[in-house]
Amino acid sequence: MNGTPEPTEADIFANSDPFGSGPSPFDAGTSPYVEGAPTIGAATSSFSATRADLSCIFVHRALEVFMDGELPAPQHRAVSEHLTACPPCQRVHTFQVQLRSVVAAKAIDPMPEDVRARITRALGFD
Amino acid sequence: MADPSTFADAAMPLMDQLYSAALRMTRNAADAEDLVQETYLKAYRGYERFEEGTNLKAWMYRILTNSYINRYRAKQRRPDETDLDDVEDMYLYRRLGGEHSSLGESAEESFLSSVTDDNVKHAIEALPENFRLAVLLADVEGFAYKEIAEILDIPIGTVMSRIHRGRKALEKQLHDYAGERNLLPDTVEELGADEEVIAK
Repeated sequence: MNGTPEPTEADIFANSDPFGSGPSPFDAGTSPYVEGAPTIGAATSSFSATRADLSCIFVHRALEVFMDGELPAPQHRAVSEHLTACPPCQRVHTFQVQLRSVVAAKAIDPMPEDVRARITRALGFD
Repeated sequence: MADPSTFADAAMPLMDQLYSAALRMTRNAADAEDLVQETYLKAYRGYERFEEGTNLKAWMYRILTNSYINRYRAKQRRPDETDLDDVEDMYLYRRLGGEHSSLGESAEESFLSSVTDDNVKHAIEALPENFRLAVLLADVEGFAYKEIAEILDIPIGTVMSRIHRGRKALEKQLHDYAGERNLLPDTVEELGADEEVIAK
């Protein structure tokens, strides 16, 4: 026997999923972006960022933070590459992006003109 | 230190956004108008303390949020600490059939095109306060986690937790509205019913 054993699928997923073990990245106080938090050290050191290593499960879990533009650059790139190559994940992503744009676009109310004028007067800008 | 003569040009264009946010916070127009006026008066008076070149929009939202919390939490006597039920990840996508459904993209598209302004506004306003503010700042105003943490004066981990859970609750609310309008595909209704049976 020589060399190292072939990694199993479970090994690959465990190593490539920064959120795979331990608390969810969304639990209060366990943000991977907080210095010294246990999850991110493991994530960045073992994150080899090849697309084949990225499970769809990882992508689903990371998608929200990815869409927020808050993933560290290597993970962001890896998720982005996975989405390009994986139509089912791409579809989830497209739906979530469209949903967010619907929410952002439909929660807008223009300030009534008379109130705008009142505030402008109160500030002495008229 | 910011030059007061630049305040009008820099801050006045933010008024519609601030008013929309104030409406989602207070849930009524008269209070929202007062809140925006109070925010502008405080911001103008304190403008010398604003560091030019930093993020004016975030600074204005911080004043808005603090004014809201001081005024309305005082009215309520204690903060709204209502929590949220746990909702599964990708709630809406799964309910619309997800990748397993032959209805597929047409269900997603017809859902998205059926959502009305009032649906979105009511869904945001239905969130408990802590979650409402976080989702509003993230998804309507587009602030980064760090900015939201500063505006709300809470740790980044708490920001992430609140927007994540708030978004899921928002999805559930939007789904419920669509159900009330009978806009959901039949198979998905059945799927939902099966899950309830299993849960029992």
